[in-house]
Amino acid sequence: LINRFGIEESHGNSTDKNTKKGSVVPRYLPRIKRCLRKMTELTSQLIKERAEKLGAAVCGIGKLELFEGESLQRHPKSILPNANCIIGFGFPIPKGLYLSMERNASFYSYTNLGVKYNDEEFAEIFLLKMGAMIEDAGYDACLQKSVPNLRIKGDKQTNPEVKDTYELVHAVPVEDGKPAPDVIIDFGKAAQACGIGSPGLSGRILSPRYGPFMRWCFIITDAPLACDEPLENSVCDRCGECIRACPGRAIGVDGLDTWQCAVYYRGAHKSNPLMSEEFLRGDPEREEIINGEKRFDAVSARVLFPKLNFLPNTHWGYAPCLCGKKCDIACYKHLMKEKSNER
Amino acid sequence: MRDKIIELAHETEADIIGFSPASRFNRDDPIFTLLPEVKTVIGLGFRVLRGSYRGPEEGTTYYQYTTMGVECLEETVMPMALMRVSNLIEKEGHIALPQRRHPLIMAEENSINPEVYDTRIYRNVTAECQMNFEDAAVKCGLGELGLHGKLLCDEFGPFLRYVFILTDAPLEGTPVYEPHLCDRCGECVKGCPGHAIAADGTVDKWQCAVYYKGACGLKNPFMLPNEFADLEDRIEIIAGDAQVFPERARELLARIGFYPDCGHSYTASICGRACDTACYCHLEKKGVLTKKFHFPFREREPWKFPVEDFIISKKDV
Repeated sequence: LINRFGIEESHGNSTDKNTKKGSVVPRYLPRIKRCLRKMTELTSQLIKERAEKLGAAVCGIGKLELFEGESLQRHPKSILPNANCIIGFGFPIPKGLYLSMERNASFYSYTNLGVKYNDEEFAEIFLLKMGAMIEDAGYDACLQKSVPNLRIKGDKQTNPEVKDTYELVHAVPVEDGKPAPDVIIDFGKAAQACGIGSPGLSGRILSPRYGPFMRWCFIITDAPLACDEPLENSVCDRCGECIRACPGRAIGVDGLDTWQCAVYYRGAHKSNPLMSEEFLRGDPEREEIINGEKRFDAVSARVLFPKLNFLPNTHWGYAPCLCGKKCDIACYKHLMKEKSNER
Repeated sequence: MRDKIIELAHETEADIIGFSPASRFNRDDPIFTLLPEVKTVIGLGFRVLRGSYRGPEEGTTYYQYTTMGVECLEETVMPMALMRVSNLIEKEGHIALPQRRHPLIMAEENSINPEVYDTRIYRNVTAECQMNFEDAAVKCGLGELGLHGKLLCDEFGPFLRYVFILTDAPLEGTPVYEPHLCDRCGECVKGCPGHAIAADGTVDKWQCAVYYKGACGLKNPFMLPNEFADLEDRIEIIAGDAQVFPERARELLARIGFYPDCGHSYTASICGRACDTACYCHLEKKGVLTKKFHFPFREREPWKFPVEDFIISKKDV
């Protein structure tokens, strides 16, 4: 059958069973392009080409063997038991957004565009397009966008980027051998497996090309794709620049204290240009807090959150970043200097 | 222009495009209130990726279905396609009225949309005219209605969401389905953990809402063993055997909160759209879906907690 676009139909829709009686016109003319695409072989190269076309700056495909020993609550196979690999994608955050924060000129654009738009809109649309390509080839695509407001059972940390986080404390496994839901993969480990990044001292995933100025998403699939080599060496050389740069002293040699970070991320430090004399007026701990000397935990951080109301949260509950991401900027400068960053 | 619409719709991620002449609709249909000049209704169908249903199927993750399969499609992808195609039509000199679902607004006084927070719905809003989406989808040739009222299409079965554009441009219609997918097997009826679908396919939306959000403990890994401890019929509720009429449903919905907000007032589907996955598995097994996968969606019996897990003694109350 030749459809009205002049394309020969070779897919299932052209069979008698799916054709209107007395008609040679297949029922689904408008879907020709996709139906033809489904027959194409899915290769790693095709995936990478499409990812680049759709806006990903980096793309890598990782073997799941590298997750051996990983907690089931973080394991890709807990999501798709017959998964073969994980595909990772990175989207750069424009350097200008960091520069404007460093110059105390604008902070909200970083949160709104660099974080919220990237994770909640751009990455989602991107993932749906990539997922459709994979499912057109007959393989499942389990999309993994960032999960900003949830913590897996037992994870007492928070995500400084959102107004608060919710631990799924009551979750139980549905069957023996399965983890309690939700399973949320470790993006740092996934990036490393895909050969596109590795976790730094500050907890941020560092790209060899873009340093910490990048957002990430992944697809777990049963497609048998050729995989990339994982990153053998960490991008982070533990120089400690991020530790020194954080105004809230939230980073130590052991990593990031997420509750401490959450307080200073949203502007508790005196370097926040939106802070006035009225902030915590009369509070005996004011000086200690605005100098970044007070230590916060989940309880004390949540008490202070309502007072850190310098700018509105964005949609989806992203808190405005008013620390200026000094840790990331310091890290980026270090990587540029020491490793002749490609960008 | 028809070809241009199809091309742009595909470019904006629509999987299925169908056209219905306005003459297929009764004269009292809302489309004529929305746009009296309407000559064609254009339907754009978007697949929900099969992988999005994998989390609830395995019982290991619930976040990605609601965010990627519902919220992102309804609030980002489909509106983008609607606006771009509408602008194309208007550039060609015709009127285009894009129509999407408004999940928080309904004309009914006492109904509910299971996908959103009950208390955020504006009811009895008759002045805001809304199309009958399922009927329009059938008339546009996007698919046929299954027993439980869900649109089924050849490629994706029930895994589809859709939007419409009303236009005064006269465009050639797409053939309407001759129903051939739903064989009234009843898998959707059996699949619902809250028994919200009657044998004849009628869906009790209140019952559906309560169980969509996780009232059935047998299919909810976030429910405590002593959930609903103060209710005499707690085991019936947890087993999905209780009949929850609107007032009771409101009471239960007010206390159900197994999972955090998913944005845009959407709540997580704890039932995992069990009716749709049961329907999909049946259609896949029959071999009638044209979108083939290398592996079947379901290869073993779905998981389920025993009701005994929720039997508690009085001291636990």
